[in-house]
Amino acid sequence: MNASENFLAQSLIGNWIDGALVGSASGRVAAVFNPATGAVAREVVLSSAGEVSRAVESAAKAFPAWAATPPIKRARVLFAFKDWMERNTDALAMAITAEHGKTFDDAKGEVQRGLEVVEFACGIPHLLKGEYTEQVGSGIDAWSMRQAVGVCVGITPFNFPVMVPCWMYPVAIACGNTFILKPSERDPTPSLMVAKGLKESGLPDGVFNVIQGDKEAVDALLAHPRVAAVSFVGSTPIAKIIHETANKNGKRVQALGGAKNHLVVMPDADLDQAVDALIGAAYGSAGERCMAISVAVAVGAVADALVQKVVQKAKAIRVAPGDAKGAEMGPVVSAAHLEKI
Amino acid sequence: MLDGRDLKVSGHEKGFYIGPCLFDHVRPEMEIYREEIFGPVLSVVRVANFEEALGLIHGHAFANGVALFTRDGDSAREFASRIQVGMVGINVPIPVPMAFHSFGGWKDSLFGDHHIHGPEGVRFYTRYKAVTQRWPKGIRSGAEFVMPTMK
Repeated sequence: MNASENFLAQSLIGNWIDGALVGSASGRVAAVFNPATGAVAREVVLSSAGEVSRAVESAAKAFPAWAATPPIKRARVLFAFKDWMERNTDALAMAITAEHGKTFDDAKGEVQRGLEVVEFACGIPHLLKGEYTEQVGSGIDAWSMRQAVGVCVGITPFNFPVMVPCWMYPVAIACGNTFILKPSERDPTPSLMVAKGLKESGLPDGVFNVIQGDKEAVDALLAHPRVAAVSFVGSTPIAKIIHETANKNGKRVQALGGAKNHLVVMPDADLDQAVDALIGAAYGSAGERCMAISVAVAVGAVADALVQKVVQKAKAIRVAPGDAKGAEMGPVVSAAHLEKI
Repeated sequence: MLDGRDLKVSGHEKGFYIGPCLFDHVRPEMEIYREEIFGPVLSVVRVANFEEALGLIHGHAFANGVALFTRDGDSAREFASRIQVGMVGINVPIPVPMAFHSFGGWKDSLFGDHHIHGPEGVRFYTRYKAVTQRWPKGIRSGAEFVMPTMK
C-alpha cells in the first residue's frame, strides 16, 4: 500500500498538529467528493477556533528553536523533503486526481512545479546572506540581515492542492518561520501526505501544521495575535477580505485573487502553434487554473481562421475521468461549481 | 460555437463533467467577459489592431497573466514593456514563472506588496534588520596611569 492509498483509505480526514495526525472535536464535517464519479469518497473535519489556537500555539512554541537553527541545517531538511517528493510524485498525483479530478499526468505536472519551489528553498543559506559596509563612519561598520517573522499561515485553493501550498511553506520554513496550512476542504488529503513527508524528512514537530476547515478556521487564523503573516490564493472577493482583515489585525499579508487572462493572436502569428497553445491553456485542467486563458483576442483578419481551428480541435478533446488512460480533460471539482459554470 | 453542458461520460453519469465551451464575438461589456468563470469556457473578442488589443486588456479589472502570439520581435518587445499585467508570456500561453522568479498579478489579481515564492517570497517571509556597530578602542594605546575620568 503506497502513501496515497494509506490516506485515501481513511473515511475521515483530520488535522496535523505538533507532528501528529489528530481528529477534531468540533462535530462539524464536510463531504469530500470524487468528482469523476460524483460520489462522496470521505469526509473532512471542519476545525473549531479552539483547534486553530492549538495549532498556532504549537507553531509558536516551535518557532524560537527553528529560527535559531542554522540555515544550512534547515536546507538539509528541505533537501531530504525534495527527495521524498520525488519518490512520492505518483502517490501525490493519485491523491490530487482522486479529489480534484484533473488528469493524472496534469497532477504529476503540478507536483513537479511545486517541487521546484522546494529546490529553490534548498538554496536558502545563499538567499539569506545580508549586505555589509565597512567604515560607514569613522570606526563604525554596518550590515543588514533578514530574519524570520514568526508563525506564518497559508490559505490555499482547491485547484492546485500540492503546488500552491508549495509556493508558500518551503520558502517560509526555509527562512526560519513555522507554518500553518489551511488547505481547501474540497481536496484536503495531499496536505496531510506532505505533513507526513516533512516529518519523515526530519522537520521538527510544530514547524508545519495542517488545519482543515472553512470560514470559522480562517477567521480564527486571521484574528490570532500570534500569527505574523498570511498568504492566500483564491478568488478576488475573498482575497480582498483576507487582505483587509489581516492588515487591520497588524499582519503581513499577500492575497492573490482571480484572473481573466487574455491571449492575443497577432495576424503574423504561427496560427497552428497559437491554436494548440490556446486549446491547452483554455481547457486544460477544465479551465480551473488562475493562469488559464479565458479570452482569445483575435487581431485583424486572423479571427475567422482562429475560431474555425479552435472549434475543430476543441471538439476532439477527450473528456474522461482523470485516472483514465488518454484523458485530456477531467471533471470540474464539484456539482456546485459545475452549476455555477 | 461550442456548448459542453450536456456532455455525458459513459459509466460516470453522475461525475461533474462539462465539455469545452466557446463563445465568439464576445464584447467587453458582457458579463462573460468581466467575470472569472473558472471552467472550460473560452471567449473570443475581435479587435482591429495591436493598440486596440492593449486597450482592451488594460480596461479589465484583473491583471494576472497575459500572452501574445506573434512572429514579430518588435511587437513582442513593445507588448512586454507596455502591458499592465503581472505575468507575461510571449508565444507561451501559461507564463507561470519558474520557482526562482516570483508569481503574482497586478490590479484586482493581487492585494499586498509582495508576489509569491522566489526572491519576493524570501522578502515576504523575513524582516529586514540593519545593524550599525562601533567598538571603543581597545587597550592597544597602552596602559593609563592617570585616574580614569569621562572623556
